[in-house]
Amino acid sequence: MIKFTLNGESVSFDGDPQMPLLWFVRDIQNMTGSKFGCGVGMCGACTMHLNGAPIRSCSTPVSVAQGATVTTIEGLASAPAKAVQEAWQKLDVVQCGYCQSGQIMSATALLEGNAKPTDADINMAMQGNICRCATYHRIRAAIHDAADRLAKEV
Amino acid sequence: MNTSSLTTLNRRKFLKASAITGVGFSIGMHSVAMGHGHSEAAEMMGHFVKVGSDNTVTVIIKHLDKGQGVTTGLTAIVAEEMNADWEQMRWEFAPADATKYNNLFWGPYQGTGGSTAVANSWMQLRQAGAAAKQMLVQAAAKAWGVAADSLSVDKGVISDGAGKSVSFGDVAKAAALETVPQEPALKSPDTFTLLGTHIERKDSFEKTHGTAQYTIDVRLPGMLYAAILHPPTFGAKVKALDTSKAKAIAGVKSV
Repeated sequence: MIKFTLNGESVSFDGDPQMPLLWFVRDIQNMTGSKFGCGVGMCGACTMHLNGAPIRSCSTPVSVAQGATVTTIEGLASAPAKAVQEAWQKLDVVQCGYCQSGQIMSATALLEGNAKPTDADINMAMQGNICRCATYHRIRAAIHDAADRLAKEV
Repeated sequence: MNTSSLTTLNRRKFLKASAITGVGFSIGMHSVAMGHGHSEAAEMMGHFVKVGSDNTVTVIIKHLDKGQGVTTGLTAIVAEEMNADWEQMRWEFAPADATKYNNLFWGPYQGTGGSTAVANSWMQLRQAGAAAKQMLVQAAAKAWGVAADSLSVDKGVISDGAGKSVSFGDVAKAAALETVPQEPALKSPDTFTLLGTHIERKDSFEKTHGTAQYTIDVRLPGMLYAAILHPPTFGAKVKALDTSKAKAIAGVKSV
């Protein structure tokens, strides 16, 4: 039996431990905010936080979450997360939006560990999240905007 | 095809398609006027515009959003004609119903593509918005015992210019009893205040909180999943197929 905390709630799973974490979250927990994109960890649409670090849940076995804390887009609550979501809305970052849950998870993890990222920091942290609408320039601007917001709040 | 012939073709197709669908729009609250089919949430129920007594105006979006911002663009067309406040505007996707929601450039088909969403919806939604506004104004005029053309509308508020005013929501219920104007007066484009300006997208919240619904998120009873296995090289042909291992996987119905 695999047990872990998902968005603040205790969850358990006694099926195939090799099943991707993404499938457990989407198909069993019915939280569909995290997206299936490539299925091989190349696009970032499925990004979640495992103990605060961004992971590709499509290629992470559910067993890896044993005893851990998993956060998805549905469970985002930190100040950096709220700043990121507000900046995304203010700067009209989204187009189709399919990759944006993953983008926001990666951006939030970046700001939780680095309050004032440079363009190079952003490129490094976000390079695993691809966007077919090519919203990259607005993503970078929104991360800077979110960092500025957080700096003012402190 | 040059620009003018494209315009002509589209215009012809538009008129033809409009004829197929009747007027092409309807605020359609006749059922409310007859005292049945009353909707809780929306006092004025239509194919394209719903005005609620909570003062929201909801635009029914007949096109798919692929990132082009159709939920914002089409909603703005209605808001412009109604002189509504952008903050009171809401949107929802239309159901699959080509008798009401066909792409006017494509004839009887409901669909999205080829940069047609705004162009084919333009007059349809302007007329729907103008009709809704006219009915709201008529309802206010009746309540005050004045002529409708003595009233003005700005940011979702109807005023008599002498201190009296009501919101769309205040008169939504009464407006539902008004006759739907078949040829509502449209605004002159030089009086547009919303179109042509920067307005924030209307679908950012759901797309930044994981609540926007995509095809992959749809769950239906008894739904099965299909997957395609592509060959490793272009132009490959299947020589032999052994499905026994795939069929042995739990839950597989067919290969």
